[in-house]
Amino acid sequence: MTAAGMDAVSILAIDLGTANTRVHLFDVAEGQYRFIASGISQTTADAPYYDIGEGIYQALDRLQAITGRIFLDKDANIILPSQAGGEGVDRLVVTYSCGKTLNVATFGLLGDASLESVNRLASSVPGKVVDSFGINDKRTLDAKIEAILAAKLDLILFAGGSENGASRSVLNIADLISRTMQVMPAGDRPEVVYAGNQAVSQQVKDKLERFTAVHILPNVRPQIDREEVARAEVGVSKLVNQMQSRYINGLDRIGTICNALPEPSTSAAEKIIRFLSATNDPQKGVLAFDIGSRGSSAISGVGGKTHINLFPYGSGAGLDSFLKKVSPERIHPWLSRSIPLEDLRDALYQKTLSPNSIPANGEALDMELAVAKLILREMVREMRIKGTLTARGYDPILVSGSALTRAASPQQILLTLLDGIQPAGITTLILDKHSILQSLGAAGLVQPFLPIQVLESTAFTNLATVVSPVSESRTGKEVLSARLEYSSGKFMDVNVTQGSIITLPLKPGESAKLYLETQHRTRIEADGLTEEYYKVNGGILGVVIDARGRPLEMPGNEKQRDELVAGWMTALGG
Amino acid sequence: MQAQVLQIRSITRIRRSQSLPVAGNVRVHLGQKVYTGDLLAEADLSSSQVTVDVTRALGLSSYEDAESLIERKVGEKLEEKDIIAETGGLFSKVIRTPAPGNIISIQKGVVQIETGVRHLTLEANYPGTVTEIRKNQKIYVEESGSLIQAVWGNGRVAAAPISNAGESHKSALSPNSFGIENRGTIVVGGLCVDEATLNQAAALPIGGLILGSMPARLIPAAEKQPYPLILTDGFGLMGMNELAFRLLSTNTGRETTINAVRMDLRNGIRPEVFIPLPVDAQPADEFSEFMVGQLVRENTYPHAGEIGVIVKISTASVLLPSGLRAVAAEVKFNQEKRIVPLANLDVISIESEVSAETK
Repeated sequence: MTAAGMDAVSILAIDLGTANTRVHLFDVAEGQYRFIASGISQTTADAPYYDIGEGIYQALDRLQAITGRIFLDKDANIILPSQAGGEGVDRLVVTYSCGKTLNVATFGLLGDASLESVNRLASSVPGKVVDSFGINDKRTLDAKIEAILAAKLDLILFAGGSENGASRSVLNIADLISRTMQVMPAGDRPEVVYAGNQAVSQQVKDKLERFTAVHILPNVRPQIDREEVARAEVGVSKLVNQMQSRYINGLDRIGTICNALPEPSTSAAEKIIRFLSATNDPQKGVLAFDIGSRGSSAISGVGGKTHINLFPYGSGAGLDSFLKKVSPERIHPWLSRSIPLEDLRDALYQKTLSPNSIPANGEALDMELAVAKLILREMVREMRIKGTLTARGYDPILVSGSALTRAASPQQILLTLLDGIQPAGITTLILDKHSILQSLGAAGLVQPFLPIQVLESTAFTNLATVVSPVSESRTGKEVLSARLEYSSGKFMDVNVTQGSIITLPLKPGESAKLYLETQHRTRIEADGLTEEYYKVNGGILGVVIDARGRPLEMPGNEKQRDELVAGWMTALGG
Repeated sequence: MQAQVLQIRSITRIRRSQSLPVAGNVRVHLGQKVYTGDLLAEADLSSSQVTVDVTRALGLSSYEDAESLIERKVGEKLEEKDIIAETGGLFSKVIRTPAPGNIISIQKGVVQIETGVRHLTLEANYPGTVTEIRKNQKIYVEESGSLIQAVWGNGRVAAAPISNAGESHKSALSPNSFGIENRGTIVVGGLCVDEATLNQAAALPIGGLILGSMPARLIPAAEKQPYPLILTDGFGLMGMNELAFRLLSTNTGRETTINAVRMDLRNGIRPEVFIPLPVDAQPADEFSEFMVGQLVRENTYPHAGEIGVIVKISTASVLLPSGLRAVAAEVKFNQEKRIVPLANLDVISIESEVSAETK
């Protein structure tokens, strides 16, 4: 459908990150929605401004300078809707990842039913689930109460019982929560969301309301075999907005002029991943990584079912937390040049003191990329443990976050992603250079065709299609023969040896047929090569065959490592 | 672009707040003069509790039966082994409290007893006058004096006279740097490179340590020290910026407060050194835009702590030696001019603003 058949409107999307505030302009060009431009500024939610307004104003000022369009009136208000002269925009949406990381506890009955559903509901909250309580929890009552008190909760999500199903167990949980509330200081009590059996919702409310605010939302598991998290998600989003408004000054103010409720960035991005995973190759999943300043996220989707994974560490304000998990000693082998460990450690801890600083020289950039690799590795490791990754692999993998996308060269970005994620099989790596994924999710609420049309445009950058064979062969032994056949009929043949990485040129926007033949003890896809050939899309670095092995480990000897990395960069054209 | 402001001011006025986690008993009044370490307020918080399920313990079939046997009421104080419930009769079954405490609830036959209370005290982190008390929980103190803001602290607070143990802003302290004259004082030094020096300072003992820098590997050792330790510039071997060193050196012998709180940029909290002075001053701005002629300090490896003056600010992003692009400034340092991303600079707030004559 073209924009001519729609209610064609311009949309401004504001994304409030921990470090940066971005404003994205989407408008109709040649009958289709396109990403036009973005303005970026520092987020001013924290000291010394304590209000998001200044950051939004600065970002819009940049956007005005870039586009030559006027978005602000003389009183610095956003012009909504657009005027006859072209000033302003028609729709406004807001996403945010700044604010407080909320501490959440979930309560449900069975681990594979209501508790699972309420945990899924919790994944839409910008926070961390610090504990989960089900009826099969073996902890004593006192231990449970101690655990809840120690968790310093902001929010309790509580479900259980299908409609007109279990009620006694649900009320027992309400008693447990009530007992804990009694020993909490009044100002420290978390708000409670109840999204379970509606038949007992009033009783739950009666038990808890004298201690804290109780919000009754639709049952996330109305039948034992039917989950309906989405309806409760809307209510949770509203509540989270109210709670975050206490920490993000100005959010409620801008919320009043938005065309959709301000939404946590990850839940907005999740809508796009859900859509892509439902429409793409059903054999594979879609994966989106975002390394933020304070926190990071990975959204995985297979066949329209998604998992949001939030990680309380990042490359800026969250670096301190990351260094508590992964020491500089573990990061050191992933540098691409020799830097003494002592210098690396000092530089990383110095960065924790100035989290918004930018790598000014090559060494500093190298350290930032090494950290990004380890953050990705840690995210993948934690997702494996949680069981939120499919063994079938992912295509595409989208990445965002300035630590990844602002690197100086595409080769640096590619090696960071490959070393960090270590994908298997055939996958396309796509850069979200402007960090618009969450804005698309939010904009889709007011203009459903916009995300689809922008996704099909050049707003995202295809970095490369990567083939990652896994082989037990020794280094230097041939593991794969490949032929890339271009649409012109010309082709390129390569033999790939274990331990190498090579690139075959294929420009962005072009596609080609890739014929693959694996050698002894080598496999590519989880089920082996089932197709005669694979249709692959071009990217900045074309088609890359990464035969460096899985899991990829770096040599301890620094000289060997420097030579190895330099060789990889050269092979990739860097 | 907004700048992070770092105050290294010979004269300024500070207003600092401290809070209890809950409302409590405030022990000071408006206009009262307080000194670092004085008690400002105190409160009691429930810290542990136990539950006794009387229905289960007595093997009863319903909690209504249990509640009829409970002899206690909410709010009642229980001493060691006090009886909570008993069945009565010749072979009476008795349920006693597992620990002394206060009954905080009786619900469905379950008795909940608060067995521990944590006493919290709020002690002044700064000297000054109490100017505001909010909801018996948050107390504001104001005072004029010299202020040196820092970047890292080990979480402790103390007040004592300043003494100088370092020869220059870049010289490293060693265990031999400390003499008897440093005992009980807040010692100033350029940097420290070994744990033995930190331990020697504790053995003396000193009252606090203000360093320009130290290697990050010393963080665990610094956190263990019983005295407050502050870094004005960060991690590495760069020592202390000259401005801070000079200001601290000129105040040798003065009573000084060292608040080595953890830096929390979200809430605008920095570790600080404060030297109260008998003057009336105005508070300095806490934020600023970058401007030509400003005094700035680089905050990132490998130039952290270097101080220079902005010569020029680019209007568009420029190419950096790293290959990245960023909005940057040309900064004149002692030895050279360098292009530095604005994000890597802190504006130094230094000029004095004495508004009234000396008290």
